[in-house]
Amino acid sequence: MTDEARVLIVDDEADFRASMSMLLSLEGFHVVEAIDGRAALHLITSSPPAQRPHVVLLDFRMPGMNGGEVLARLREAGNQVCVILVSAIADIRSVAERLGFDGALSKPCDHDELLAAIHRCASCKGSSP
Amino acid sequence: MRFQPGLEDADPSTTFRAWQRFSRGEAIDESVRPHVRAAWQRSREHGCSPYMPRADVLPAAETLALLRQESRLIEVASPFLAALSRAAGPERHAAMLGDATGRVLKIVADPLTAADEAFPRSGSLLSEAAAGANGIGTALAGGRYVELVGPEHYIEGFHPFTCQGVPLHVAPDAPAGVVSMSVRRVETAHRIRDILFCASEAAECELLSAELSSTVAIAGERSAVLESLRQDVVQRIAITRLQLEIAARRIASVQDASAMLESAERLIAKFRRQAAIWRNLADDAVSSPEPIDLAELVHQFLELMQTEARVAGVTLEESRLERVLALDDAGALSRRLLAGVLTGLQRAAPGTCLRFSLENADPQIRIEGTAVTGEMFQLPVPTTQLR
Repeated sequence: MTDEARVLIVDDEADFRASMSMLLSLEGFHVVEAIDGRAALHLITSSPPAQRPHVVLLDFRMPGMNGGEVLARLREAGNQVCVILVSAIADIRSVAERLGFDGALSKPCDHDELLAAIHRCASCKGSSP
Repeated sequence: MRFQPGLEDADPSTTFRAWQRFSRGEAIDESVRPHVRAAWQRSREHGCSPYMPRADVLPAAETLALLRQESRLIEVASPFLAALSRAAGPERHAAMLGDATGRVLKIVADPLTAADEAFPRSGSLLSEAAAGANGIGTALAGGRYVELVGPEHYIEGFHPFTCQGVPLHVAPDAPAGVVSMSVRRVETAHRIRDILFCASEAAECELLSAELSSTVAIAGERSAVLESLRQDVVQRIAITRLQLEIAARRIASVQDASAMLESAERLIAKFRRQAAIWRNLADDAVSSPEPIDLAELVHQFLELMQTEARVAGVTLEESRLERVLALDDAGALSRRLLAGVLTGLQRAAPGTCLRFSLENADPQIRIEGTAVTGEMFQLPVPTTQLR
């Protein structure tokens, strides 16, 4: 099912969203984008179950709320969607672990690691978004 | 792009006859392309044999030690070798990384080439002095991009390949390594040339980016804001890498990738500009005053500060800036400007705009904004007029 997995990209940088979206679409994923945390929360919680993302690629530094706050809001609402922190912060793995992210990818992302992380998440949680 | 437009295509059969005469000890034929003539001459002076069966290879233990020593370079270059390999698609190819001496560090190749015992491998020495004109050694010897088609290679065993190499520079004086691409068809080589340039430049930027990370650790009280700005600078490279991956797929399926590569080139240029400003901000050294175009400085500075401003909910705007030349220490002025912008972002009400203008008579950069109270504020960043 991972080839049809829905991936939500949350990043305030339009060029990053567009490039990541194009690459993942070429890899066979269904991609949606959000420009910040607020838009992402709205998209995840208001979409019909059949259109909810299986995997969220979430930036950390964004206007409004940061990636950690977005994840906390999701978990508070009981949403267990797989969320991968994608950021250039220096100590990304320890931050991701401390805040309870399902994975962490350091920018710039290694292509193979990126796909592996999405596939892993989509197989674990994707069947019941 | 660093490609030399005057580089005309070689005629392999004419070159092969010239190579035969040359390998018998005769002079180099005028029909051979100039950069190849120079490389053959150097190779002969080094005493290379055109008939050597294979390049010299380090013993396994020494190769492992070399790979450990160059692990950072290998880590940085590996994603780009993978993208180049993807761009070649199903055709025979080898994307290679060499160290600054021409020793091969890593190869990403199609399965047939990877299994070829005679093909160079990690530990092979491809310096021009050891292996004659080739994509790795000649790029290092000439200090720039090189293309060698078939018999333009000095060693006969390399004649089936068309090789291109680009040296990697972090500092201008000495290369950090070299990236090369070997294919069997000239058309394939031409199709991947632009992505090879782009990938090598992006690899250089990632090597620079690693230097920025280590500078943050020693940057003192400015380290928090410098770390945020470093992340913003790195974002340019993150996008470049994604665009190279997309371009690689397009090239592999013989689609036009020029727009994507041009976009990647623009991001690389932006990264270099922002990294230069960032280094000025991180460095406390005092340097001699130099002429500074204030409009250009403000423009580049605002480009760097965009994400910081977005997170603060404030827009940065340049008024129509006329060219004002100041005489100042570029690093010190950048640091004063950073202090001014950060103060402005703290004082400005979210949803408002910080405007930047220049004063010509008594040269200064003026930052104007609206505070939470609704009052206007001004922050002057003084400098000295160039006379």
